[in-house]
Amino acid sequence: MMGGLPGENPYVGYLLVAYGVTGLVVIGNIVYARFGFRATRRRLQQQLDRRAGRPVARS
Amino acid sequence: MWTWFFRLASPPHFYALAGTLSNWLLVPALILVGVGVWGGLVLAPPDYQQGDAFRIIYVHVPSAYLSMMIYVTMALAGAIGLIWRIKLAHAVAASCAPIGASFTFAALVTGAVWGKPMWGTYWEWDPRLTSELILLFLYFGYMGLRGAFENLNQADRASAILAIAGVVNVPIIHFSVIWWASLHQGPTLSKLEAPSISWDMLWPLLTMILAFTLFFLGVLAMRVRGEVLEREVQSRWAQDVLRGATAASIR
Repeated sequence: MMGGLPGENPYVGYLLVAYGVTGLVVIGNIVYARFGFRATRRRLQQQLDRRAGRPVARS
Repeated sequence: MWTWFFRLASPPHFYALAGTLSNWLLVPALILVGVGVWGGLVLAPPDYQQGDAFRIIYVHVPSAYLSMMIYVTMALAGAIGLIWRIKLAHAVAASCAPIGASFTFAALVTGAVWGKPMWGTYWEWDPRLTSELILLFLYFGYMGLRGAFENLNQADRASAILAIAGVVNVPIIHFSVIWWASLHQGPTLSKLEAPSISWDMLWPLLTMILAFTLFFLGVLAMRVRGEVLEREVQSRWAQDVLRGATAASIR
C-alpha cells in the first residue's frame, strides 16, 4: 500500500510522470494503430474507386 | 510439417487472422494492465530502501523488456524476409519499429524519473542507459532508412540488414550491468533460482510483463493488417476486401 497521502509522499510526482508517459505510449499505440489502419483502408478504397471511375466513397 | 508456417505467411490468411486476434489480445491485455497497476500501486508493500519510488518498476521493466523483445522480433522477421523472401515477414518487421521505438522512449523516461530520486540524476552515461539510448537510435535509423527508399523491395532488404546488424546491441543492453561497473541495478528476474524480489512485489510485475506482451501482439496485428493491405492492393483478395468495405461505407 502506498505510504501516506499523495501530498505527503515525496515520490508522487515521479510516479505520475512515469505512469503518465507509459499510459500515453499505450493509448497512443492503440489510437495510432486503429486510426492508421482505417486511414490506409480509406485511402486505398479511394484509389480503387478513382481507377474504376466510380464516385469516391466518403466515410 | 511446415504447412502451418506457409499458410500463416499467406497475406489473405494472415489479414483475416490478425483482425480476429487483435481484439482477442488487446482486451485481456488492458484488463491485465489494470490488475497489474492496482497490484503495483496499491497492494504491493513499499520497498525498505526505495520507499514508494520502486513502484516505477511496474512500468519501467515491462517497457524495457518490450523495447528489446520487439527489436529481436523485428530482426528475426527481417531475417525471415531476407532468407525465404516472405513479404509478410517484412510487413511484420516494418510494423514492429514504431511500437518498439515508443516503448524504448517509455523505458528511458521512466528510468530517468526513477534515477533522479535514487541516484540523484536523471541521466548518466552509464552502459545500460547508453546502450538503451542506442537502441532508440537504431529504431529511428530503421524507420528513416525505410522512408529513404521509393522502392519497397529495396527498403525491405536494406532495413532488414540494419535490423539484423543492430541486434548485437540487445545482449549488450542485457549484460551491460554484469560486464561493466554500472549505476543501474543488476538482474532481478533472470536469476530464476533466487529472484531478488518478494512475491508480493513480483506478481504485479509478472502480470504487467504478460499484459505488455499481449498488448504488443495485439497492436502489431492491427498494424500489420494495414501494411499487408497496402502491399497487396494490386491483388484480387485485397481489392475484394476494399470493395466490401466500400459497399459497407456506402450503405
